[in-house]
Amino acid sequence: MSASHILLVDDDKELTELLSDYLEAEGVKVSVSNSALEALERLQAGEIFDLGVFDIMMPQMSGLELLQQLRPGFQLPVIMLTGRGGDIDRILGLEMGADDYLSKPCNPRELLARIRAVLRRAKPAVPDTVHVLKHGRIELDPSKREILIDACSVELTSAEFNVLYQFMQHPGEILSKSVLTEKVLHRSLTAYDRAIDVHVSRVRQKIASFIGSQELIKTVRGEGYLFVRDSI
Amino acid sequence: MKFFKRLFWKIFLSVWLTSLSVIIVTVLVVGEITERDKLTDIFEYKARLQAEKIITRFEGGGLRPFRELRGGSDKEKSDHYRYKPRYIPLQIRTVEGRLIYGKKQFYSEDSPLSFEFVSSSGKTYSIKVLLDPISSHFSRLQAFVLSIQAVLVLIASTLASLFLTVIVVRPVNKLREYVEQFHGGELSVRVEPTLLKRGDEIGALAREFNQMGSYVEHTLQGQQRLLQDVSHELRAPLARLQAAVGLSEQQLGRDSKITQRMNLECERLSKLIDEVLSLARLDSLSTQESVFDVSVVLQQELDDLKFSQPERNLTVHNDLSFPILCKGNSELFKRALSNILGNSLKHTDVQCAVEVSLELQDGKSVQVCVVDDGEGVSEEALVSLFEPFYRHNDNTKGFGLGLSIARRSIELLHGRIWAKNSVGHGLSVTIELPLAAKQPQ
Repeated sequence: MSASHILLVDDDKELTELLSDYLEAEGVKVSVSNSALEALERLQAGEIFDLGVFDIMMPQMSGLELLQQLRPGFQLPVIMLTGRGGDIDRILGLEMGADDYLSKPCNPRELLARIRAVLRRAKPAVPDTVHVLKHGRIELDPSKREILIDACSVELTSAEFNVLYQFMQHPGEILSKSVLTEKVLHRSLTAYDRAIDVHVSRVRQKIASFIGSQELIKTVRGEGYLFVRDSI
Repeated sequence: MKFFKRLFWKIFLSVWLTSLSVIIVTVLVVGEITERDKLTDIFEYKARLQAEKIITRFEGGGLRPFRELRGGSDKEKSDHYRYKPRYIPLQIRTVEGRLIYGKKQFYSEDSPLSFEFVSSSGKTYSIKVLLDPISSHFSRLQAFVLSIQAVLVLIASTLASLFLTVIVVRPVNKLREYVEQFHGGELSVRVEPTLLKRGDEIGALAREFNQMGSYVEHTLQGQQRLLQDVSHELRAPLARLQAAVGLSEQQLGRDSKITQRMNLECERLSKLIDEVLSLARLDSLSTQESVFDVSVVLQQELDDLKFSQPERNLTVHNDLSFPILCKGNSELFKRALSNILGNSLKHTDVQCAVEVSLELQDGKSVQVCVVDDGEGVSEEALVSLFEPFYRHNDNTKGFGLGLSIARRSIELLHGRIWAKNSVGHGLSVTIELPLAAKQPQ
């Protein structure tokens, strides 16, 4: 695998220097922007990155605003760096299409692990033989990473796509939160980790806007989620 | 508060009783002084007239007519005296001491009024009056109480004392309400201008209250802001420190004891900053008004704990099958619950059980009780447990912020929280939350 190229956006120059030193030593190519505006310009100018790491708290333009400007046009996977305890920031970030979050200050090893997990997931090794999954009105094409409902394309982030992919591969089975987190986010579930719940609820909302209020993904209290087999 | 302990009744009753007694005494004393002489004169005059009549008859022709005059039977006589005191009971003796009229058993020292009378024939008689010229004070008072003036006096004094009391008590009550609100955490509350404009002591008190309020508010806010700013500013260098530790870890290897220790301390510092910030952030959470189900949040919290600490024995007693809805931000309740549960798990041995129970209290509030099987804490420590940075027995397992965050969260939800040592168990911490007005049927 060629060195991944990430875009690190944080207004703290000293921190970005240290982190890029650390990540470069681990074999990750790092480009640094010290403001969200600069990062936006670089992305709009056509620079290609495999992943973005955005800090939320930045002067002028916050990481969330940067993300808002990028979606849905750019499919760049994004990890948000949030202030700890800022649950609202996390949920907002995930809802706006971030793929994962990490609270700051954080151990750089954890940041590296998350970066690798998101990169693994963003470049899924999909064998050519995988066929299109169909379930009622929903059609999922893993090779094109495309969802069609009644032949209309549904915009899903990569994490949301993976959630639905998991469900459609296992209809009628209860998928626990920890299994979903491992398969979808490529990392293990931790306590107080609601990332997967947010992704699932986003998928629910997006599908519901097409097929109405039918309950396609059920919550099984204390166990996980269930994709109802014969719902549509 | 018992009714007689209220300031209202104290002032009202004392003013009322004082005014009433002053009025009564005045009426009695003035009446006594002005009327006594007059009454005595009239009475003596009447007695003289009567005595003159009797003596004239006595001198004119024997005793008989007088006996008739005194009336028939004893009963009639006494009725006669009681209801129509037209005839004053007299005792008339001649100068030699011979009784010519009245009862024998009557001694001069008992008579309130006696005088001598010289008849037209020139004989002198001594006359004693058997009745007090002024009827007793008691009957006079009785008459007064029943009179219309007395009722008017009563009404007037009641109205006056009511007015006085209201003037004093109402602003005091208002002030008390402001102080209560202030104590309840509404630091921005200030006394209304109408009270401030008063020139009296109550106005001064109100102005003092406002000054104290601004002082306390600014001080507390300043402290909180300082704590928040400092913690916030500490995060940037800590993030750099962690990155630097990561770099040295790359050079020294992951097994290096030094970098492991540095990582551990960074982690601790980061947790401390988190807790301080979350304590400061609670207030902003309270502005979000929504309704949450206590049992759902409780279940989520327990699931998380069972996930992170599967070796611990955590049980829940919840016989309530319906949703228990409370008003406010569920995040606050979650924060409190997770801190209390975390606290119980942290300070007890692995084999100790922790039990959570959920109970409704007369349909108005819900109590969530967390009991552990640990050693409990000393009685003095029970109150201090909720103070920031208080650590029981100087333990080093935490920063002493968990329970103060829990208390602040619960206060923001208008609930209560307390700790006690439960019999046969260790520490028990109870949260009481008011139920939302609308409960699902």
